[in-house]
Amino acid sequence: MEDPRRPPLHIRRGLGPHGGFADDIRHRAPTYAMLHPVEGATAPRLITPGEIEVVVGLYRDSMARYEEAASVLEHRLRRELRAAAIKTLVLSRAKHPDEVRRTLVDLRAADEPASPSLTYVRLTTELNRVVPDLARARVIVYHPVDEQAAFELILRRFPLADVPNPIEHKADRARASRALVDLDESFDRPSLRGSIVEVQVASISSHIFNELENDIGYKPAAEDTPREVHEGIDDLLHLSRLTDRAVERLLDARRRRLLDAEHPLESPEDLRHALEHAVGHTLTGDFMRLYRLMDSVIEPLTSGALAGLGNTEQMLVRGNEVAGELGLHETGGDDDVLCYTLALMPTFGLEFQELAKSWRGPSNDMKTAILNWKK
Amino acid sequence: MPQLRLTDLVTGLLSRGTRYSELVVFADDVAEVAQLRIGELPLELTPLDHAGVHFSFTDRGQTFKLEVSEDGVSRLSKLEGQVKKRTVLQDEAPHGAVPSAALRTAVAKKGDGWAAGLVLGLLAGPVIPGSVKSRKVLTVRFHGTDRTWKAYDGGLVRWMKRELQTSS
Repeated sequence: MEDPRRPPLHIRRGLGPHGGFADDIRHRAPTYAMLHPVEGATAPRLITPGEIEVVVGLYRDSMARYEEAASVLEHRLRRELRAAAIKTLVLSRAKHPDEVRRTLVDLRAADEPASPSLTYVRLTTELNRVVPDLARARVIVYHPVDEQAAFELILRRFPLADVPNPIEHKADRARASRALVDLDESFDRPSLRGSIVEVQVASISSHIFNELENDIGYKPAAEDTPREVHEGIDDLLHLSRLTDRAVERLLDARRRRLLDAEHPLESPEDLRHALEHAVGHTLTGDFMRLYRLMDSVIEPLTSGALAGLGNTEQMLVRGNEVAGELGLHETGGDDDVLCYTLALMPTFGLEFQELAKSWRGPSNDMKTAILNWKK
Repeated sequence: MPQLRLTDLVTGLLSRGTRYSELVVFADDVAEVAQLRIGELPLELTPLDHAGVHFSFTDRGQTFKLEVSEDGVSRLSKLEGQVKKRTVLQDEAPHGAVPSAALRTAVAKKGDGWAAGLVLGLLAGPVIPGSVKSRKVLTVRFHGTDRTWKAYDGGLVRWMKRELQTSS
């Protein structure tokens, strides 16, 4: 007969209740604390180096879960950014156990001995909330201007984790924007629910600087860092800023061509830039789909053709009114692209409906709005 | 193997009412163009010029103009007004030169590995008011099973728009 005091089978095997990875470290096999209760554990004290090692060991055992969480978000990010016509390189990984150790040692050093916030129990039950970057995704864009667009998309399309400071902008030396995303039920991955993934957005040049400074230059306790290292990091910082400016000039030159009324818009990115230039600010939505629609019904698709269709700003206002009538304000499906599409419907409604009918995959706000549109 | 007959082109052009005035397809997809290449003049076609470029025909009570271009495309449009037919002489050389070039160009444009059965077309409509030269168009694909033309927004849109030039 099964010993009722024994933990359930899935916990003994270190699995979650449904057989997947445990939802949290506390669901894993018996912990150090269970096996070796610490005498006087109720008295406040700093976590010990031995306890940090146990936590790091437990993290190493469950690293696959964080790799998976990071990977799931990476795929979603890639899809959303691609649809929004923002060129990016997306990477993901779980934090290395050595980095976790270093973080915990740093946190311990900064902790208050009289009332420590970092306790062994807390680390074994909510490590991901104490160290929210166990799973990380990096979004690398061409230029800081795209950084803003990519970050806004993340804030709009992904749920933020319920932790202190889920959003952070660095603009001193390291330059990046960070958001802590919660893998909630919208990800349809029950075994990963509740995981936090840190998403950092930076330009290519800032990414190089951030990584090198973090890995080589950033040693706050090391007073004996050679002067050459400091100088090298400073050189890198200047080069990084110079590269950002050079990329900006390059992109500006490329985008100026798009304003030529006869120059074809050859990609969703081109369409996004042309429309954003027309209204003077960044726009949101699925430019990939809008481009497919417009490219199928206008030849050649140029800035001149867009101008011929009407004043973009006024069209957005008009589309926004139609979105309201269709109840899209309530569902949050009233992004700029959808509003613009709705404003195009009197001209291309029948064609758009015919094209939208052939779209495969689950329905979305754009498809629904197009198919429900009536003259 | 050409899959389109003239009547399929007419179906495509008329399928969206009067919204489009021209249907452009690759010349090698049209059976009648293949006949012209080998020197046969299909019975339904009437030559409109000596070069073997323009032809007229009647379908569903309406008269249409078929243009065969050395660019590798065939264009169908409605023919308004009086048709100026010319007499075909008994010993006249077959109208094969232009259709032959059209077929060669079309095959070259598609290249090796063209998906069997894929027939694409471009419906061209009026110029968009206020634009320099942009027109309303619709990229379409022919479905041989029910002989209909459906809107197409697949990966070949940019390519086909470039190759099926809309201006005659």
